[in-house]
Parts: sequence; structure tokens; C-alpha cells
Amino acid sequence: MSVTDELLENAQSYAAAFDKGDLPLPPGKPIAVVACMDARLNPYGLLGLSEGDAHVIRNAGGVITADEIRSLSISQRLLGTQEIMLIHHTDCGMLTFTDDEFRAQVLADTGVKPEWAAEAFADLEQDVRQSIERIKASPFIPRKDSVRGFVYDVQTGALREVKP
Amino acid sequence: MSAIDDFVQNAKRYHSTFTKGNLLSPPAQRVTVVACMDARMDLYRMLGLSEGDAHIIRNAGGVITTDGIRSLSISQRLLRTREIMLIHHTDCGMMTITDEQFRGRLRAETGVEPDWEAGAFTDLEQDVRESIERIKGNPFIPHVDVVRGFIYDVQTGALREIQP
Repeated sequence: MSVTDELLENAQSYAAAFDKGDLPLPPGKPIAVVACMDARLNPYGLLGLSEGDAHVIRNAGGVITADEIRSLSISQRLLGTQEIMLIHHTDCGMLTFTDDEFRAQVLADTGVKPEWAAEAFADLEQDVRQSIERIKASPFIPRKDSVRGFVYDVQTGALREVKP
Repeated sequence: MSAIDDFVQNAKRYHSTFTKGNLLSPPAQRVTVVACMDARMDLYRMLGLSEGDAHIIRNAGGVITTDGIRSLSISQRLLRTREIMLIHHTDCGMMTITDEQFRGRLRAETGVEPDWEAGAFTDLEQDVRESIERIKGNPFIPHVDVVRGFIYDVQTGALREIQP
């Protein structure tokens, strides 16, 4: 049995006990969380989120690329969110390589060079600040009064705010 | 008090009872879930995931963009995941707009046209199938034997597989 099949069995149990069918499309708390895809970072447990509370946007690194701008723009403009919370974390895979190394490895393995950068970074706090600046520089995100960045420590479970 | 302040308080409670400081960076279940950012989907409860189990990639629509390819490539190449699970859902905001409408709205409100498309769709099942094909046709994602697509029903809590 594949992992996907096991997860599907869990989904059946979830549906059997489901009682949240009346939630509206816009998030109950007007906020979008942008975080790394890392398996150890569970925004629901960490932030106390329940179904219906917040948009959750995640990718490798929790970095702000064009796709995050797209998602945040839709989140704010169509679905009324007003705050943005960015979460990076310690021991991130993005700290273990460089964009050039990744590109060279992919080229060696596939014969094709990706047209995108891996978006690796060397300094967590600086990348959080840089991500906030990318959001603030975008004309497509209307509400930027509350854009705050954090680093989650995967060893202690603590969430620490990064000062601008 | 802002939603972020609430979440920071919740994170303090999470930290105070945290016992999972020894988890590894590569996901234990070797699976990556790609899903919409919609607030009503809590993938941890739905799929029975715990911290350390799976990479989670989320954006507006759960669509496969360049950033999705970047994240999946890093997930498989650097962090050894092998299966991909795509999850769209009923009552998705991406079905309420067209790319042309959203582009026109941004142009009217900001004076700037985005260099990305909103990624709207009208047929959920068709978009799931297209997303699977985008993954399978991409040279940067090495493991495409198990790529399966699903639709989550936000009214019933049920997860249904889309046959290719």
C-alpha cells in the first residue's frame, strides 16, 4: 500500500466525523500565512488554526516568488484578508545549497537548465526581511500595514519574530 | 488585537508542550501534498498528518505553477519524497473569476498589468487532470510514478479521487 492510500484511509475517518460544512469561503480571521513546506512545521498546531480560519500558502523555503504574489493578491483582493504572517524555520533545506549548485546539478541530471532559481538563502533572518520587502514592493498586494516575519525553531518549537 | 498577535499567543502554548525536537528534515512518509490555500482545508486533520510526515505546498487554487515545480523539484531531489498528492476542492474562489477579469481589475486598480495569470478554472476535475499532466511532463521532477489527484468537498468533508 502506498503512503497516498494510507492518507486516503485517514481522510475517510475525517469525513465520517466532519461537522464543519457551513464555513464560508473567505477566511474567518482575515489573514494569510506564508510558510515553508517543511514537514516539521505544522501551522495548524503551531498557530492554533482551525478549519475556516486562515489562508495557508506554502512552498520550498516560504519564499516570496511570483506565485506567492499571485496567491496573496487573490487572498486580499477576492477574499478580503488584511494581514500577512511569514514563517521561515531553522535547519531549512534552503540553507544547505546555493542556486548555482542546484542549477548545475539539475542540468547534469536532466540535460536541461531550469529557467527558475531555487531561491536558496544563507541567512534566515535576512531572507525573512527580504521576503517582507518583496511583498511591500509589489503593486498587486493592496494591504501591507500588517506584514510580519517569524522564524520557527524546529528543535524547540518556539516561534520568534524577526524585527524589521 | 490583530490575528497575528493571537497566533503568537497560541504559538507560545505550542512551544510549552513541544516534544518533537528530534524530527529529521526529509519527510518521514516521503510524500508531498499540493493543495489550495483555502482556509477550510486543514490537511493535517484531513489526512492524519503529524509533524515530520510530509511536505505541504499550497497556493491559490493548488495549481501547478513554476513555483510549484521548483518546490516539488527540491522536495524530491534534495529531500527524497517519492509520491505526490494533489488536492483541489469544491466552492473554490478560482472558479469565481476569469484570468482576463482579474488582470483587467489589477490594471484598473493599480495601473500595472501582472506578468502572471491568476490561474482561474471552470472545471475542477479537468484542472486536477491538467495539473497532473503538468507534473508528469516536467523534466525537473524525477519521480512521477505516483501522482494522484483529488477533490475535497468542503460541505461534506469527503475526499474523492479523480481518475486520469
